[in-house]
Amino acid sequence: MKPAVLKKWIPAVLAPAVIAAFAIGASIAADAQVQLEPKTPQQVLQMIVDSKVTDFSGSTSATLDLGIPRLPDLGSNGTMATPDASPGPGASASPDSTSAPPEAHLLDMLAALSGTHEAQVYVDGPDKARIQVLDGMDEQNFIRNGSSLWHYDSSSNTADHIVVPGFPKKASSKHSTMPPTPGAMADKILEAMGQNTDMSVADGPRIADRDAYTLELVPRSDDSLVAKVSIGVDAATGAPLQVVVDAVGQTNPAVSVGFTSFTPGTPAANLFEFTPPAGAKVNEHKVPPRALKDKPGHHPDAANPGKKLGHKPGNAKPGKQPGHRFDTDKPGHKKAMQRPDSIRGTGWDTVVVVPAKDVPKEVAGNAMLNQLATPVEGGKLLHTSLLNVLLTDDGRMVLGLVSLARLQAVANGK
Amino acid sequence: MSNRGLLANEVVLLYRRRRTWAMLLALGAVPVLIAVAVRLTSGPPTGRGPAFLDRVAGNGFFVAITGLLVCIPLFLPLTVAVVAGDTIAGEAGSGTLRYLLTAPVSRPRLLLVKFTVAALFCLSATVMVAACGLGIGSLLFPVGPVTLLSGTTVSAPAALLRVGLIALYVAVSLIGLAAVGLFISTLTDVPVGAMAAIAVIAVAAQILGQLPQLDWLHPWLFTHHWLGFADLLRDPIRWAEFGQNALLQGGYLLVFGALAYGRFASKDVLS
Amino acid sequence: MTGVPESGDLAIQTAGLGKSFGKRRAVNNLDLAVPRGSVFGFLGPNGSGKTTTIRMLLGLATPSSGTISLLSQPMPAAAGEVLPRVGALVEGPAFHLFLSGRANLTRLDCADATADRSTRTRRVDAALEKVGLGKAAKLPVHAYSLGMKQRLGIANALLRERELLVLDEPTNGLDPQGTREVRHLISALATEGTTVFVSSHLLSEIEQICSHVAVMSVGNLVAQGTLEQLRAQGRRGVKVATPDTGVAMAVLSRLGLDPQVEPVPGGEDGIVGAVLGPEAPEPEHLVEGLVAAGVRVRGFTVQPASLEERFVALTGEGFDLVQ
Ligand SMILES: Nc1ncnc2c1ncn2[C@@H]1O[C@H](COP(=O)(O)OP(=O)(O)O)[C@@H](O)[C@H]1O
Ligand SMILES: [Mg+2]
Repeated sequence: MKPAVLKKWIPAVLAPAVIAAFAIGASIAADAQVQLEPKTPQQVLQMIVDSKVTDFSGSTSATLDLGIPRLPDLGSNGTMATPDASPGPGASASPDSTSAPPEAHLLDMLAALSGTHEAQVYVDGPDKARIQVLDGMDEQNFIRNGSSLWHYDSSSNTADHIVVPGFPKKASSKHSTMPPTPGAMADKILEAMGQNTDMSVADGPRIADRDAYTLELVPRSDDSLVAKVSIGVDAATGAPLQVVVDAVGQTNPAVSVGFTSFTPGTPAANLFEFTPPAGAKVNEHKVPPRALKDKPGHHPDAANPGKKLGHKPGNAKPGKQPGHRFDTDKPGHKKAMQRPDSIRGTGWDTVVVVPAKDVPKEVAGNAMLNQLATPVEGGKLLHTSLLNVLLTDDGRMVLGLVSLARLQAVANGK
Repeated sequence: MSNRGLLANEVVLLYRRRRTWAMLLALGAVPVLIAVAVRLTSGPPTGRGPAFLDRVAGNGFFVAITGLLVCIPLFLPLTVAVVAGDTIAGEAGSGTLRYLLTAPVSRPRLLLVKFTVAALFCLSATVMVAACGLGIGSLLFPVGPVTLLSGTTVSAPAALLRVGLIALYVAVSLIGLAAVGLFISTLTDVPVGAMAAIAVIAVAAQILGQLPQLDWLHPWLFTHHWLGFADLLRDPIRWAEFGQNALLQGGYLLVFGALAYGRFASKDVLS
Repeated sequence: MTGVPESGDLAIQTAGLGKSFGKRRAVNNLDLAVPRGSVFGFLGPNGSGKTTTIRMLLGLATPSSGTISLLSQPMPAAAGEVLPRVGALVEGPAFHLFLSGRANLTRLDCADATADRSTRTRRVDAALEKVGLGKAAKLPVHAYSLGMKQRLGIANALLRERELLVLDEPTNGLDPQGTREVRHLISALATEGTTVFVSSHLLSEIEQICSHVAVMSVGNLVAQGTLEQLRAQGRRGVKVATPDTGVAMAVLSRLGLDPQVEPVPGGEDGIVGAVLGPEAPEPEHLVEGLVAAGVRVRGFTVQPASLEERFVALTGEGFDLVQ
């Protein structure tokens, strides 16, 4: 070709180059943070504790990748932004999903939850908060204003209302009231750390376009499935902005919850005032006494990711009601929690043993569980990248964030 | 010199074509069909079908929104493929391209005018769906304050504004496809071939967007934000999606506009 | 050929112009020189590269080699400046069929950003009038006959005052009456001073109006000059009427000619014809030789050099296109 002809293609070469340069430049600019004053892990922890950000708004993104195989029949239910991903209320609250055994339900949900979920968060002080979980063409709203709790599900146009007397006082300990902000998760992990964790402060990238410290927690354990927990802490305010949990042997984070944008400041007051729209079905709920006792934060539940996930914003399935949490309703599970002798080990190596009589029948006989479980020495293993569950041949259920070897050792009575 | 003479002429040409009106009327028929179907089957909502369908009976505004939603995956891309595929290939195929170029029109100017007309069609198409939806919706169903996804209720005028925004959002969403179409149209002298290729690309991009194995690719597909207009029905409106979509479509316009220029400016017009 | 005008006087000048489609050479090393004010006939059989040349002249196709200067400006670099002064008809008319003739012309005039908007309607109507389409101006083009479309194409070339008209086979599809009209139109424009570059595969159609001619054959320019120059290059021919065709053939061959027997229906005499090249003996010597060999010469005619013969000699006869 002649040079004159080649010249006409210059823009065609330049355009992608310019775009690539901008994209790279923007990501470098977003990542490049000013030289932060070096801090020790203790100082960063202190920043979190001292953080006075009580009012903020932001966008959060939660990604879950537990290495669970996707079941064919879950596909359409779990993907977002597909043309038919927004089925009407009948499909999302299909009757069979409520009658299915809870464990099957759990796997359903974990598989469906895998992927990225986005939510908009508004917080004004300890007793006003609103979370909007963006779910394709639908939206789940959780609104708390003092003792009044609202949930609105756009797909079914139903609203749930609970008034929790005395709620404000109890909830005044930060981050514990609502499906977790990153701060709530950070607190839980810090609580659970104990002595057996290596802590360091890394030069992480900027988070949500803000300068941030990244506190890294590495379990000092050979058996833990948790490779690393990274907590991004806003350099300016000390607010935790991001929590990333890496699993052993997995490149992508198993869990990543964080702000993609974060703005300190009081959100508009009307965001916290919810009036159910005309035509919506409104369910008024009484507060069961148990619900108060079982409030999150009262369990030693940091060792149970299923438990944590139960409170994640993205976890609320369309059509599900708040308070109807699958794991707290499981009798066996709960009893196991309440009996200290069923918990072996401490810290990262904690293993929970559920005696055979407390394991629900549905678990052992469940077809889907059997399909997913792999036979191992001494029983069957349900494996995710963070949590292992061993169903022993004698009917016990042994679970923890640990390797199979440790579960087997515990099961064998060591 | 100004583009106005030619642009005005091309716009008139677009709307003088029977084909254009056939496509616009077909698009307008979609919300009408939806509304009539909902009206005739006045049972309780079954929960099946596209999002918002179960709200149609309660509020005519949702006819327009459901109509747009239904048209996005196939009908709108098809019509845009016809118009964008015709831009250059149509002129080449009928031989009029050589007379335009010797008139003379500079080739970049012709591309610009043709793209502008295609973009205008994108807007006409979405406005047509929205307008027909609003029209039939107000005829068959009550029209009043609208409950947003966040549970907030807005007045009818505010809802009208939101429907307009959605039409605009969808029109912007189609810009990338129109730019791809402009480029493909410069590759051939057979307009039907270009149209088919563009339609196939629009469908293929949506299929790729569904494959979880390609999730690294998804944010770069021009179809990625096509269904993101739900963010305009939230309270407060999330503009992020609108912005990202505009940026992405702008990127497509830049890249494929430049490719179209490279191809067209160096092309021998032999038809 | 002598008297090649200076480039300033040339409406079109090409140097070494060539175009290949893949390996096929459609136009080869073309050196055209079209004087301003001339009516330049661009002759050649179908497929000889006329249209391809015209496409390159107008900037529609990029030359594979060589340079073009149109109205003293380089093409395609100066297309925007030059083309408004050039009216063109390329490879037949092409219009939007659902638009009227007038709407089509208006559209093309809008396309020319340098055209005066205020006079647009008047100019469009005048152009339609000039080609006799005044009455059909409002009809959609799909209702036009081929001849009417051809006229509309010419009208497009006449939308503005042009310094140069490039007309590719303008009489294609026209009836004899229409052909004559086009010829008159071209002559009239030429008298006003417009240079006309008109291509045709039929010499007879443009012979009467051209001042200059170029002849193309298989992509090559084989002759170029004024009509007189070309005619002067022509060769005379002789025809011998005799019953002894065989002997006559032998004699003429011996004298260095390439004789051919032309069949004569229903007569005992045959006709032997031959073209006289520049080195051929004079006709009287031919008669002498024939008579001496005992050929019964019953008729002997000398045909003067004709353009037609020249054209055929340059491009070959019949349908077998040399590729
Ligand atoms: N688009 C094309 N692709 C390949 N070859 C072509 C093309 N256009 C013309 N040609 C070839 O170029 C030669 C000259 O064609 P053309 O210029 O149209 O002849 P003319 O106008 O004298 O009849 C022919 O041999 C033709 O086959
Ligand atoms: Mg030709």
